[in-house]
Amino acid sequence: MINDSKIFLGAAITFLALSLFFATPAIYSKIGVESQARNLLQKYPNNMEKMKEAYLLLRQPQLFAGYENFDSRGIAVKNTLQYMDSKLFTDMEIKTNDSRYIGLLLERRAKGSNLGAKTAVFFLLMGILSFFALLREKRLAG
Amino acid sequence: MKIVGEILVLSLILSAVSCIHPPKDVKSPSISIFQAGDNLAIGFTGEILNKNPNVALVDFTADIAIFNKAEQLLANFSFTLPPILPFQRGVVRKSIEIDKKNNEKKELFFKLMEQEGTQNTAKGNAKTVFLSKKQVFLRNVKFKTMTIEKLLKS
Repeated sequence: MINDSKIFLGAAITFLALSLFFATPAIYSKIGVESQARNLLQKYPNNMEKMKEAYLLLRQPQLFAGYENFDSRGIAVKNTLQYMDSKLFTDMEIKTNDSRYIGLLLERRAKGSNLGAKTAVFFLLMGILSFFALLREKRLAG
Repeated sequence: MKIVGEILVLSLILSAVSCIHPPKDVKSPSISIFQAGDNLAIGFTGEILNKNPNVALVDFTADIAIFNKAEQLLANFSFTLPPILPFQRGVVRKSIEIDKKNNEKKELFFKLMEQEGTQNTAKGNAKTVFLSKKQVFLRNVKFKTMTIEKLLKS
């Protein structure tokens, strides 16, 4: 009987490593960036400096929600970037209404981190399945 | 193992460098021709687009060469632009004066007006010629890059 233990072990390690690779930026984004930006937007809707801080937090895109490609739905995000970059660069006043534009960036980022988290869960499940297959293979061989 | 590491580092550097899209052409180029006595005043307008989503182009300098359809050089000039933010356009405006002694050049512009057709502009008797991308070349492009967060924080 052919023993596939090594293949299952390799697959389990690869899937778990991929899961970790996708989970790390998603968790960092959810805990480190999104919650902070959401707090700033909700607690200080009239504070220009805090709004600027929230925008700068969201200006660097999430790994799975880059600012390179936009479909017709995402074009609002592109317009937001143009509008807010110009405002901050020329030191124009950020108004309360601008928080909804920053909210669009937060929404896009959340979508990206959700995608990353779901992908991580998928690879984690695949890793666990491979691990169980490895145990079964060892039991049959042993 | 060392070679694998070097390849990984090299590929990371290459991917980082290739992420920056330098402007390759001038968008919406046009010239306005205004005759003031025997002299000819040419006003060039065009736009440089920054396609990069997270990088601003700073200290932007370049040359623009304008040709007619017979590939004769009409004008050649250098320009600098203030920082071009992501997804935005830097507007190039340049005035060139051709004095009465330079008849050959004046003739080339008059021919261009005849060939391309002109449109009257709001400014007096100036005539505007919209140029195609094949007639306007961007050369010696030099710029520095700065991430938009760094630029906005500074």
